[in-house]
Amino acid sequence: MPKYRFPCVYLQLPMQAFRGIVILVSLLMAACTPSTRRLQLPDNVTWSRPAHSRLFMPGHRGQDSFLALRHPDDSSRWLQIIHWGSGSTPDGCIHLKNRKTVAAMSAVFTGMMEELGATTMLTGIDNLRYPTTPLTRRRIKAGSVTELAPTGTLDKEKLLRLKPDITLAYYIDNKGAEQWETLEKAGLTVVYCQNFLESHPLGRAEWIRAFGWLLGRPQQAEAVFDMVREHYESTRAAVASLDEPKPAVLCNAPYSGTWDLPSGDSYMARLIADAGGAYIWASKPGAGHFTLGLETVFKEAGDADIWINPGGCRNLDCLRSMDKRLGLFAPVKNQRVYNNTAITTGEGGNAWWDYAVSRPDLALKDLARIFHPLQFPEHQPVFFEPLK
Amino acid sequence: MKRKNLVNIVLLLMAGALVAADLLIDTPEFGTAFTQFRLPRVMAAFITGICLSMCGLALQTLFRNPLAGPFLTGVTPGASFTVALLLMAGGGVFAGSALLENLGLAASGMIGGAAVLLIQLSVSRRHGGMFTLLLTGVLLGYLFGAGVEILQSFAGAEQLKSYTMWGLGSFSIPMKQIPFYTGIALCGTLWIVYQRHRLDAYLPGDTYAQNAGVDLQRLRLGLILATGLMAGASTGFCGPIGFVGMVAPHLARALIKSNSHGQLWLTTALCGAVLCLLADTVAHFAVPGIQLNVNAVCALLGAPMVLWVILRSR
Repeated sequence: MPKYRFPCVYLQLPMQAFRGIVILVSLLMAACTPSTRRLQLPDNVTWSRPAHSRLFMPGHRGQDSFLALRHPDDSSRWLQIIHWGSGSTPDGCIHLKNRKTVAAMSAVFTGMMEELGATTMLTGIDNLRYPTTPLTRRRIKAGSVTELAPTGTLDKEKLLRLKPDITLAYYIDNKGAEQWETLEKAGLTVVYCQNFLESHPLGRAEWIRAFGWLLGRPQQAEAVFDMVREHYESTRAAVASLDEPKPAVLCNAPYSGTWDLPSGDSYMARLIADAGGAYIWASKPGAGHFTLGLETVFKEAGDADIWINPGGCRNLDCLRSMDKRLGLFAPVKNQRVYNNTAITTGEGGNAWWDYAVSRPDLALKDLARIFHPLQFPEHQPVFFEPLK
Repeated sequence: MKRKNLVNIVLLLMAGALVAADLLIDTPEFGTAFTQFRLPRVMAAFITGICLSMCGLALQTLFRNPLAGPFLTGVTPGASFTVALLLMAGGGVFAGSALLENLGLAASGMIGGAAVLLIQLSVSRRHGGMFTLLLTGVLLGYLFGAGVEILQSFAGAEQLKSYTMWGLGSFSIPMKQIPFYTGIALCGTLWIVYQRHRLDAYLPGDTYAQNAGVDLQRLRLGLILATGLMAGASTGFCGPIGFVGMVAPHLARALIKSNSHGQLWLTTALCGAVLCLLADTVAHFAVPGIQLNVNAVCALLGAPMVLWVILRSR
């Protein structure tokens, strides 16, 4: 075994020079570490806490309005505080100079804009194929909207040339956040709408109030959300008062023998529970997802009563072609499989991913109708269709 | 008892124990869940271990290079690219025909794998050496990886997810694919076993092989076809599984202290089978309630072994 020698011997450097280089590199790395100064809420602002969302908070101070966006990884910190008004902008806050044009990085945002009657503000979107709401599609067809990320990668130069007053964005990891920081430094007003992290359906829908504030339509936003909340709660109450057994519900589809499933506190699990279904893994902790093998899912859910959201399949033959063994599941044998593919654009757009986020009351009614068909006979499903 | 027989018996017992463990842990009922899910998965792990290890043995002989294997030589990335073409751009091209579906996956993998091997062979004949082989393999890996990323840019969400999950590797294949897969593994393995004496003669060099009466062209072509078929089939059915192909032959050599293909082939096949069965058992049962990624487990088991091979060869 050769005797271990300190690395500087191999580089033929004197020990002092080596030590100097190590210290210099350490200092440079420390200097390059970004500042972690915490954003503080401005003084003398009256804040109104949302009923269901945990990630945003509107407020006002005289004629000036504020929107505070909570940090998704640390609820004690603030990600952004946006200020609109003629008063001085507090330290750390982003001043919204104008709100005439909007670039939206998700079809969820365009869906909410349409609910607010703000579609004419839309000038850019990540992918033209995804929105399903009619006014947005009409605007896209008229050529009034620029596509900014057709293959998933943002064309930053195009966005900078577009110069929208507000860019509605989101990020999944630090790498995604960094690309937006460079655009902010270039002068864009970027608002991080992390509504996909809300686990309650009404929490996600409540972001329409944040959009209402941002786009200058707060009253419309309140009216829409109040209507959605009322319908949601009345359906939930009607389901809760039913005296019939809850069907066992299976969700999603396997890919290459692996099944991704929503955890017990997730958005989908909450919808299923509120619609009167018994999600098989309701006791699995967490608001995200977990993975099981096909065999385990068959053991635990092979006899489920209902199967919803089986990937991209719109008929049972498609399901069986994914894996012949899926035909062994009881819902497939009994033809009680339903998918959220009733409204699609044919180019990859699906109303479940934009419209349903702003209208969870309709999604809930759809599921309630599926789980308890005799109780809601008058409701025609909006998002779900049966697989035959 | 001869050392190699003892080693083979021990490996056979280990494989048997792992098969039993994989089949019986978590008390499955011996009904549909067992015959349609558990049994084919364990059989696929066993067959994949044999396929990849025999590929590795053949490739290390073909290139006369101890680090050759389906991954590092670019065979698996090439097979992955052609499978990606089928999954993302081919869509339901074979829908409705089970035979074509099976053939399609295996054939697409084989075409990609064989194409890479032909490139590697022509490069190594002009510029032989370990460095050239690895560099070409890495470059081909990058090339085909880039091709896959471009395909992903145009794929829909479902196709993207389908390819991504396939890329994580899984032995969970339907029972109907097992006979076909077994046939391919058997043909490839039997061909390599049949050529064992020629492979022994090939190993020292081209001149020695020719003097021993070996038809070099035919042998190389046969090796390319056999390894392309087995690596392509295993990549198509189970996704890209790393490390097994390279590690298993070295483990076999270390255990029986021989380079003779006549003695090595069975030990290599059993080593590969044991590795894959172990990876599958760990992936499914190490963390209760959660299935780990088979490829990641193979890497956790295989990477230290690869390091050991490299250090040992110096």
